[in-house]
Amino acid sequence: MALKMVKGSIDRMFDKNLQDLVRGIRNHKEDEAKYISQCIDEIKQELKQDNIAVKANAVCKLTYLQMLGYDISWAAFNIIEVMSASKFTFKRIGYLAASQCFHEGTDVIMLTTNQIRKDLSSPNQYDTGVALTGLSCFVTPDLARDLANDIMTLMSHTKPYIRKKAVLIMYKVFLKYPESLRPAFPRLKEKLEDPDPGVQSAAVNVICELARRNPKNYLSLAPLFFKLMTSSTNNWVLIKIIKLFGALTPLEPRLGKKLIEPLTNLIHSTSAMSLLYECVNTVIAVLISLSSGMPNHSASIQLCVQKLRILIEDSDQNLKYLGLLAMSKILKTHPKSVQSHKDLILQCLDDKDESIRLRALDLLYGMVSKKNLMEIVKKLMIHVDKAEGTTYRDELLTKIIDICSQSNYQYITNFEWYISILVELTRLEGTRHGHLIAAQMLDVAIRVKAIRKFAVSQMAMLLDNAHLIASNTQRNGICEVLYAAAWICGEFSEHLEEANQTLEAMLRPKVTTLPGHIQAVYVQNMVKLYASILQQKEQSGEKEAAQEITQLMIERLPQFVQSADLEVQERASCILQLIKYIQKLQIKEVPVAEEVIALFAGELNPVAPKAQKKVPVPEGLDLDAWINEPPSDSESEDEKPKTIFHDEEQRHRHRQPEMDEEELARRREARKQEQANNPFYIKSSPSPQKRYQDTPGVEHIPVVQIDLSVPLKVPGMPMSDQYVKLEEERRHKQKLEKDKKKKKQKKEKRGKHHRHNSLHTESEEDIAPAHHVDIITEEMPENALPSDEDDKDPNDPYKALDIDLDNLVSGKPSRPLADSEKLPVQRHRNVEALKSPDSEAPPVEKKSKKPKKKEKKHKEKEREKGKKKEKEKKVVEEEERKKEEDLDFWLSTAPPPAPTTQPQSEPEASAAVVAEPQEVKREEREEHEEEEDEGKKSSKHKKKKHKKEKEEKSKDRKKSKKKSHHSEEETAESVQNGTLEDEPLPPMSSYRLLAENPYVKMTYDIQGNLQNDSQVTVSVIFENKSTSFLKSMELNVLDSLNTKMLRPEGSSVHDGIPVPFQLPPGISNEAQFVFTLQSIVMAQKLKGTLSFIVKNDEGSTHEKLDFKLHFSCASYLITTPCYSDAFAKLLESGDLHMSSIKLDGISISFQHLLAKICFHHHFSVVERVDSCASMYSRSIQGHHVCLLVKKGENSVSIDGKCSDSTLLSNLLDEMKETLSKC
Amino acid sequence: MRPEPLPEAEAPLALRPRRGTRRKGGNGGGGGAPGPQRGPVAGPCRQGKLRLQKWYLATADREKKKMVRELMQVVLSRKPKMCSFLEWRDLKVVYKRYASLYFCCAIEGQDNELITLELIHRYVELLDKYFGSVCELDIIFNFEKAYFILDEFVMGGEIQDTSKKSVLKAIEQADLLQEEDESPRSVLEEMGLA
Repeated sequence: MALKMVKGSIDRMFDKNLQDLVRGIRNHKEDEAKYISQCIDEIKQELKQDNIAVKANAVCKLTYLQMLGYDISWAAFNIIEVMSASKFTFKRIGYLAASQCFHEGTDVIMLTTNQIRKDLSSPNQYDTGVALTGLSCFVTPDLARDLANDIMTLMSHTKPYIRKKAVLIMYKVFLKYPESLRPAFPRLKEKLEDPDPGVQSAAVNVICELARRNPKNYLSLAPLFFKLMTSSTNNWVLIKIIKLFGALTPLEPRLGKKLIEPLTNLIHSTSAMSLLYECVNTVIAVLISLSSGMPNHSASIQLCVQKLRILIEDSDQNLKYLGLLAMSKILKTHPKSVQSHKDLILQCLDDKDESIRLRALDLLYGMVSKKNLMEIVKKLMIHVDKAEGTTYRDELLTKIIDICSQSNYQYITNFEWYISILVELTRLEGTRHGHLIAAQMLDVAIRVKAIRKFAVSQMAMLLDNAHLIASNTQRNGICEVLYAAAWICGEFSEHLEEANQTLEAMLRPKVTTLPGHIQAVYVQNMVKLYASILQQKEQSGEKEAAQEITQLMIERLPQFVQSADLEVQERASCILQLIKYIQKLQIKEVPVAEEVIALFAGELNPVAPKAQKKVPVPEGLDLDAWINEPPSDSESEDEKPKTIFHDEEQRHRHRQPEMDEEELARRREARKQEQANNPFYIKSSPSPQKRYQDTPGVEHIPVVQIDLSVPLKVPGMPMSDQYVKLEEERRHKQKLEKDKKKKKQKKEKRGKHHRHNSLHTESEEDIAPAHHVDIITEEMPENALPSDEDDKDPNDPYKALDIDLDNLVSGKPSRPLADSEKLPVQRHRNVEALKSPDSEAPPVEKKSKKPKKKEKKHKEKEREKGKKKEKEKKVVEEEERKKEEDLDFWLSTAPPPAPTTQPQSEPEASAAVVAEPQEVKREEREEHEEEEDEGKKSSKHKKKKHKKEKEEKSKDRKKSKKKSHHSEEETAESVQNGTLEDEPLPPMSSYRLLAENPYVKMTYDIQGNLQNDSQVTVSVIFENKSTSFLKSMELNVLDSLNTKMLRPEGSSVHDGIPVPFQLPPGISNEAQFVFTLQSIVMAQKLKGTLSFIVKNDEGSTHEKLDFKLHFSCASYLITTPCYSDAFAKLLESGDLHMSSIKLDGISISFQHLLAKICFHHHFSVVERVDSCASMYSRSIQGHHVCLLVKKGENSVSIDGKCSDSTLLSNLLDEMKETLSKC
Repeated sequence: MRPEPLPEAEAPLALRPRRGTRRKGGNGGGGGAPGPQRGPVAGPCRQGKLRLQKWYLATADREKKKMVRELMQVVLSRKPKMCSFLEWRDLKVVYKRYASLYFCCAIEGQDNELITLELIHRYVELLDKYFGSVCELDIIFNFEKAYFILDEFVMGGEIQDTSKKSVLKAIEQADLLQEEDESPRSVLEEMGLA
């Protein structure tokens, strides 16, 4: 064996270690892949060896390779082997590898459960730590379920180091196994007030994360967090809490009011930018959710904006960026406050950093007004020209369009200017956003009627220059604008001055190189153009010219007929035939123009994009029913072409066949009926003319003479500038005119120009647009359905955590933990389980709960459930109210935080609670009455308390009364149920002093284990009190006949057991030792010695510390729950011996007394009536111990019954001793 | 927060103090990738080699690789004067360059960028204290140590301990345990070498 080990070690020397591997990889830059595959082969060999050191080395190398991107999932099993190594060195490597490469799909992961559990309960805190860290990276739902209970136990570990990690990992566990949230939450909440700041901040982190996902369940924690916020100085924690409040405020606006003050204080006082930023963000969020009713509302906003300005002006790019980001949030609700910083924002457009420029752009969107739109866009256009890199330029382009088109072109006063901007934008090479520009052109031309003439002229220009556009961007992009140009020229051809020329431009051979869908639009629209030219020529009697144009069409159309694009081909051949027919008619000198133009008659109105969706389904119409027989499966669905206006074009033309009057009238009726239900029917809007008349005088005539000589064709000359100038002049004129009119009006006093009044009263901002923007509101069908609610993402991983915790939180179990909700606990016997976390359980009051859970039998469970349910029903309603009132109360109090920290209690129904809600109400109304009431119920002790408080201010009084009331009542109740969890007792520790000298202090606790009737585990905490290093600690005891220390096989009774760790100065750690015993009816004492080496700068010395280990009888007892009926049977059986004691001068309250017995002597309360209680416990060897505890005025009597009389009398003696100390 | 990458270089990492920042571990040149709810990665610089990566959300290898590659590309394409934040997929990436190493950390929309930057900085400070004026080579050759430090500092994407001292103390003690473990072996090794 030893030889093998040596051999393994020698082998190992020839292996590469990590350093060699790294170096090797660096030296083989050319053939890295080959070198690595060679290394992987070596590693595979190494993994086959038995030596764990070799394996660990191999796994370490694999971890490195994994980072380089090599697959190491094949080694998952070897990683688990290394994880289970006993040496920390290897374990650490194993867990690291696992955390780097395991994920939910790793199948061997389920093999790790027991190993992890073992490590979690290891006496060495670093083993536990490393296991927790690893687990946090790869926890799966299965692991979470199996280990939740173990981790929960660790949350109360003695070491903050472990508690902290356990608390943090709980979040991951919740995510994977949401059922664990309810059972674990009370303890988690408790950790918010952990003495260790690290643990506290971990708990804050976890709860804040939970709360951010499902805020409403955590609203009741607000007072507690508020207290933390006003007391904590740790910025990390503050940021979390503030973030949490940001999430809570939308649900409870009153919370917002309460928050503003502390937050503003923080903003003023903090020097940490991260905290400042968080506060500002939250204040903004709060103000947004408050919307109104805040007195110094605008002051807060001003403060935020000011602070943000400082950030933006900072030379640090990061702050600048974040400042802009936060500014944009304010912008949404308080645009005015931000607009005053326009200068600053515009400055940021020149920043070197693209991300900052983009942020500034976002801001500009909200900052434009009628007044500054042109100026801002001009600035942006300059940036477009300067911009390098298409991404940013495209971003600019979309922003310009967004800015201009927002809220129905609200800020555009001059559409000629806007069209020119769009046309200028078409000069951008390689942009992806041609379709955006096209859509804008179409939209403006359709919706702003007055601009059509101008738009058409510009579009004709574009078509004429199509070669420039098309050649620039073969691939995608800008040629899309031709789509719009062609359509606009066709549709509004009546405005075209040189229709012939445009038609010719559309018939150029070059056009066939355009994408199919554009060609299709070309073809369709050249007919429109053709029709209007035809009509024009016929009217002026130029028959020759009319025939010429027909001839031109017939000559050029065939090039489209040959198109590979079906759409183009079909339209072209149709039209070609049509025109050939026209030609025939023309030759016969029949006037055809009227009929041709009738093809395209009709007004076009925009339809809201959602209109179709909003059509309500008429009653009695079943859309899913088949109208005809269902078609055979083989029929394929026809696909619709995706052209933009295709559908509408076809649908909205209404041709009017000639009919006699009567027929017409009849049909009109029918049509009206039909129209009512026809979603496609566009109701005629009031004619544009009519609208113009409504608008103030001059405005409907474009003041600007359209200057067609605008040098469109000369690229580089920003022609939109002209319009800026013209617009300025226009505005100036307008103003003058207005002034004139005003004066006139003043003179006339009652001017005729009533309709101008509205104009005059408007502010400077409202500059009348040059055209009446006939922005037709998009049509919606009648009875449009309300907008669709957006569904929540069903895949949200956090949804599962939307669990109501309030009942747990406020300590009032309206929905107590059901049995099914308890965390699964490992049940089978396991040697390791001896050392399981149980034995390390917290020195605080909660021991009784665990064993109870574990050993509860089915019957008992059900019985309990039944009981709970009954109580539950009663309590639920009042409970809800109570909860609300509490929060209300807190929220309604004046600023100084009044945290009504409610004591948490084990979520079990408490009868006392029923009385509560009424009391709270009363408290608010009649205090005297209430006092009497309470006095009756409560103990003297409480009365005193109340009296004292009476002198205090009424508010405080109410609060504290409520508090004390709660806690007392609850405590009583929880004791009754055998759980002590949330009792406001002085902290108790079951750890007793073992021995102490200047170097080391030992405290110990003894716990029995039900699974082995002759063993107890002694947990000893060693604390290094010196400034030296303690190592080689060894603990030995002198065994007695009855009690022996369990030593490793093969060692003699005189050998000590090494303590498995060393102690650096000031550190403490816990080790566990197992003892076997035969009889447990007597207390035992064992002498022992701890030997250790003290190492410091001067050298090392060997030291010893003697101690006496006292096994009390109580340490053989295990808290076991028992129910009253079972208890009664037990007493009736008559197998028990009886004994009793009486103690005088006991002054502590009864529940404290019970708590002490429960805690120190491992009993549980079976039943409690007034000041009398029955208790039960069981020894590891199965002795039943029953107690009846009665409290008189100043004395306590305890009657005991037990299957062993010696044990009983010893136990009673011990109890006497404990209680006499009180 | 999520993952992040950190960069590499053979020059020592310069530490510049900063006002309010924080980080999630990781370094290396290039990118780190995120998992939801914070996980950092770290990678090295110009060559775009990953030096460290840590994921706080278990993610399949392929997806990790893809994200790392993407993130590296994005981060490396940033110019020196640019701010340390960028939006990437549905995450925010916070990165900082120390000498040739980029440390990145992907965080969620609501997380605080500045405190993440601080986190990064703290981690680098921890590395610096632990290795004594850390350079990229330290991280390459002792990458497991760099991970151990990160694990003591950040767990499950949340900061574990805001005190540098206590993080270093925990690491030192764990190392001590390890040394104790290792001592018998090194004797053997010496023998073998002799």
